[in-house]
Amino acid sequence: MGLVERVTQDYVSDEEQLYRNVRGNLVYDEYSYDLTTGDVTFLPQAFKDREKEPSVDRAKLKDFDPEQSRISADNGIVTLITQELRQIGDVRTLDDKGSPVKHAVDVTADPIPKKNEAHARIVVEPKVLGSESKKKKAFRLLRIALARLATQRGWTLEPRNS
Amino acid sequence: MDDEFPFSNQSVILSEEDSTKAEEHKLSQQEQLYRRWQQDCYPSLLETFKEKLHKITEREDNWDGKGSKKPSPLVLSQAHTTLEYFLYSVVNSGRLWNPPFVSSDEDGHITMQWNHGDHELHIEIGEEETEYIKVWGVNIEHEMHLGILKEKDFLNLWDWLSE
Repeated sequence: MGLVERVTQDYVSDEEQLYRNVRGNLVYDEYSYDLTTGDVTFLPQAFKDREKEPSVDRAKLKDFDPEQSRISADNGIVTLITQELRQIGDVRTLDDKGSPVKHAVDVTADPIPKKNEAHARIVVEPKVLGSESKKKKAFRLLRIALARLATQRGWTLEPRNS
Repeated sequence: MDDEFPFSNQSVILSEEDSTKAEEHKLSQQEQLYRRWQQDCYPSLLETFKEKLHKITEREDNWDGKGSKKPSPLVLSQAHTTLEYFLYSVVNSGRLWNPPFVSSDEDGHITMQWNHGDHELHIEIGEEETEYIKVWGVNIEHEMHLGILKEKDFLNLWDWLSE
């Protein structure tokens, strides 16, 4: 693949759908059901990530088949839209000198060769630097926003064994 | 519920004195219902909390496979006290209680989440402080507010959630 093709393919466009695995086992506290309405609510725990860059799959590179993204039968799949993620708004932090820094939410392609060419990450740019607690605070707000977006759409694929 | 209160569905014209008596009677019935609810439901709500916290007590480090810490005994004890205070404040003020979703996060803090319409209230109990996040949309900058929770503020947050 040529450089231009590669760059074009790596850019995640606004209209792209993204699949995210949500673990179906309730022990992980990633979602809950409203007992009166039956509506599902996804919880911020569904977007935990050690690197603070939650993984997603680009739907178009999975032939728009969420089943291809499902890591295990216990998992369900939710769909996010890239543009909606980019509209989450800025995460604000203070740098070491106390000056405000704005971090935009973005999606970047992160293909894993021979394993998952559709892999992408939800990131904040520029990266949040400084104390761990500052990073965690910023990531906490991001996860709340992601969970809320997922809740608006509900399951794309429900967990099979939950 | 109205059926339990006399006069609620009647269109009889009452004198001013009768109206006052009726109102007092209605209030006293409401009071009785409330007290009964407090006696019968409050302990079971508290027990539900305790059960949930007990399950969280059993978590080990990396309980979620994503490196999350188990909550420390201090955090659990603070969560227990805080939850009991919240429940008591809401019930005692005559407001309707709505149970939260309780969990723990990667730092071993206890988290609580309430949803009501477009409003979400998140509370995170750590060893040193308790924080809250009010959420009314997905925009981090304009539709979320994060602050340190002081006990006296809880009912204000509760009223905001219930709006």
